[in-house]
Amino acid sequence: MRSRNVIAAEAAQSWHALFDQIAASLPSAAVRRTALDGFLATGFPTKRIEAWKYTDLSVLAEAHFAAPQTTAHPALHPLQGATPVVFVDGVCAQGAELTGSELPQPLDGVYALNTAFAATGLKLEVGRGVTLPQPVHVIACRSGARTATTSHLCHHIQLADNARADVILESMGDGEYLGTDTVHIQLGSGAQLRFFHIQASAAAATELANTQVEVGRDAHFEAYSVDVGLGLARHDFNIALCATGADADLKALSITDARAHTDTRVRIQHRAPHGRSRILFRGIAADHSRLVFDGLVRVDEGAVKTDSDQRLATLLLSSHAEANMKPELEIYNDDVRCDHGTATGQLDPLALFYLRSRGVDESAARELLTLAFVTRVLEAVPLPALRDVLRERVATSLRTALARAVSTRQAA
Amino acid sequence: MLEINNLHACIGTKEILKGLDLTVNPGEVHAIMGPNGAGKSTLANVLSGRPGYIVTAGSATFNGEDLLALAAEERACRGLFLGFQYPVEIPGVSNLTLLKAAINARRHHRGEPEMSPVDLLAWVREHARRVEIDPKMLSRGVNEGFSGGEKKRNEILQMLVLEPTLAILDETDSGLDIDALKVVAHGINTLRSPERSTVLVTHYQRLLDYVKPDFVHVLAAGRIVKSGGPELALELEERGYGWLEQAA
Repeated sequence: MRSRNVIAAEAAQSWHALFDQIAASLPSAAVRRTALDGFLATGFPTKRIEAWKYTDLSVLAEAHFAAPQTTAHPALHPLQGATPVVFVDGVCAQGAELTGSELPQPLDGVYALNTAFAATGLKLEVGRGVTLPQPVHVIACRSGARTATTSHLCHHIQLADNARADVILESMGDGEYLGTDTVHIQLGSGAQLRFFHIQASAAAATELANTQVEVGRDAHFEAYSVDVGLGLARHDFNIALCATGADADLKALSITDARAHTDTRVRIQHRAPHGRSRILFRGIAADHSRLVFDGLVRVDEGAVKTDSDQRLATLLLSSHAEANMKPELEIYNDDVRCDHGTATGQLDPLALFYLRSRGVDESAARELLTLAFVTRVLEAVPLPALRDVLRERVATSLRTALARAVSTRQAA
Repeated sequence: MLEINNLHACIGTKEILKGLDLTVNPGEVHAIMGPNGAGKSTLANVLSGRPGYIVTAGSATFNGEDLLALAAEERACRGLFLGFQYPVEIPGVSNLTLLKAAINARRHHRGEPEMSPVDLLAWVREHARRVEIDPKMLSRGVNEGFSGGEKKRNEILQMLVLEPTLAILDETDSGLDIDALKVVAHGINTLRSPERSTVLVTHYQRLLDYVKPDFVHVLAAGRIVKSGGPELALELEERGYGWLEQAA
C-alpha cells in the first residue's frame, strides 16, 4: 500500500505555479484557491479510501503537469444533425462560449482540482416546456504531446419544467494528460434528459469525470455511458431522485483492452416516493486490463414504492484481465421493490459450438458472441445516427481486443 | 458418404462408444434407436465435432475425408449438419445473422461470392413459411424465448436453408406435439434426394411414421447391436429394448 499520496513539496509548487498561470485571474479566485489548498492537503486518493478501492491515483502524486499549449487538434466528427461544441485542452474552440462567470460548485477530493482550474464548459439552459430540436454534441479533446498536461471542464445542464434535451459528451485525446470533467445536471418537473457519455482516452491518459444529477418530480434522466478508452478512466455518477416519480435509467458499457483501467461508480439516491431506477452494465475486459463497476442504490426512509433494479455482467477475454462488480443496496423502508444481479464469466462454450456447427469459424463466432454480449446496451441507444457510430466503434474495439486475445493464446 | 469403423469415444475417462460401425450411402435415411445412455447423442456429437469428446480408436470418413481431423465448422462447410437435441439460446445474435454467417461461410469454402442480402432474405423467408416460423422471429436472438417446439422447427429451418448433404438429427422429434411433428417430418422429407442422406437419432418410432427410414439400427451399450428395415422400429415399439440389451 502506498503511503505517499500526499503531494510532494516540489509537485505542490508546480501546482501553485500552474494555478497562478491559469486560474488566479478567473472569477471566484478565492473559492478556487481554497479548493486547490484542500486538494494539496489530501492529495490523490489511494486504495485506502473506500471510494477508490480499485483505482489508485497515488502514482500521480509526484507528477508535474504543465498547462497545455492549445493549438491544433485532430479531425473531430460531430454527430450529423447535432449542434457541435468543442473544447480543446480545456478551452472552447467551437460553438458559443457557454460559461464564464458561473461559480463552480465546490467539490472535494480529487475533483477539487476541477473546482480550482475549470474555466469553461457547456452551459445549457432549456426553458420551460421547450424541446431542443437537435442534440448537443460536446467534444472534449486533450493532448499531452511534449509534456504531461492537465485541463479541466465544468459543464452545467439545466432543464426547466417539461423541457427536453439530448446531450452527448465525448472525451478523447492523445499523449499523457490528466483531465477532469464535472457535469452538473438539474431536471425540473417532468423534464427529460437523454445524456450520452463516450470516453475514448489515450493510453497514457487519466480522465476523471463526475456527473451530479438532481432529478425533479416525474422527471426522467436517461444515461448511456460508453467507455472504449485505453487509459485510466474513472466516472462518478451521483444521481439524486429528489421528488415523487423521479426516474433514472443508466445503461453503461465498458470495453477495456491492453492496460486500460475503467472504474464506474454510480450512486443513486431515492429521496422521494414512487421513484424508479435502473442500472444495466455490460463490461468486456481483455488482455491485462481491469474494469470496475460499483453501483449503490440507496432508498431513504420516506421513499416508499421505490422500484429499483441493477444488472451487472462482465465478460473476461483473458486470464490476466480483471473485473470487480459491486452492486449494493441500502434500504431504509419496507415498501419497495429492489433487485440486483451480477455475473462474471467467459463466452458460453455451447453457444460457441452451436455457431461453429453451422459453419461459422471460431474467430467469427467469438466476435459474434462478444458483440452480442453488449447488444442490450448498444441497441437501446435511442438516437439512430449515434447508435450506428457507437456500434462501429465498439465493434472495432472488440475486433482489436479479440485479435490480441488470439495472438496471446497462440503464443501461450 | 459416411463410413464409421470400430469407433470408440469417451467423455473424460468414461467410454461411451465401444466399437461402432455404420455405413450411410447417398440418398439413404437411417434411424438410430436405443435406450437412454446407449450413446446415441454421443455419436451425433462426435460426428459433428463437439469439444469434450475423445475418440480413442476407430475412424469416421465423410465422402472419403477423415471427418475426425476436421474442426466443427469445417465439417459443416463440407455439408454436415447437426440438429441439436437441446438447441442453444443466443441472445444478441439474431437468427438472420446466424443464417447469413452460415450461408456465406459455406460459399467462402466453395470459393463462391457471398449471397446478396436481398436473395438471402427471400431464401430464408421462403423456408420459414414452410416450417411455420413467423418471419418476425428471424430478427430475434437465436432461439431466444422460443418454445420447445419452435426451437426444433428452427433447427429444421436452418437445415433447409443450409441444404446439407448429411443431416444428423438428434432427437429432433422429442417434446413435439403431433402438429409440430408433422411440420418437422415434412421439412426432413423436403430435403430427401438421391444425393442427400439423413441420420435420425430417436427414442420413439413415432417420427418414423412420417419419415420412412431405409434402415433402422439399435444402438445399445455403445455399439450397433441390430440392424434392419422399417419393420424393426415397429418391433422395438412392441417389445422394447430389453431383449437386445441382454444380447449386447
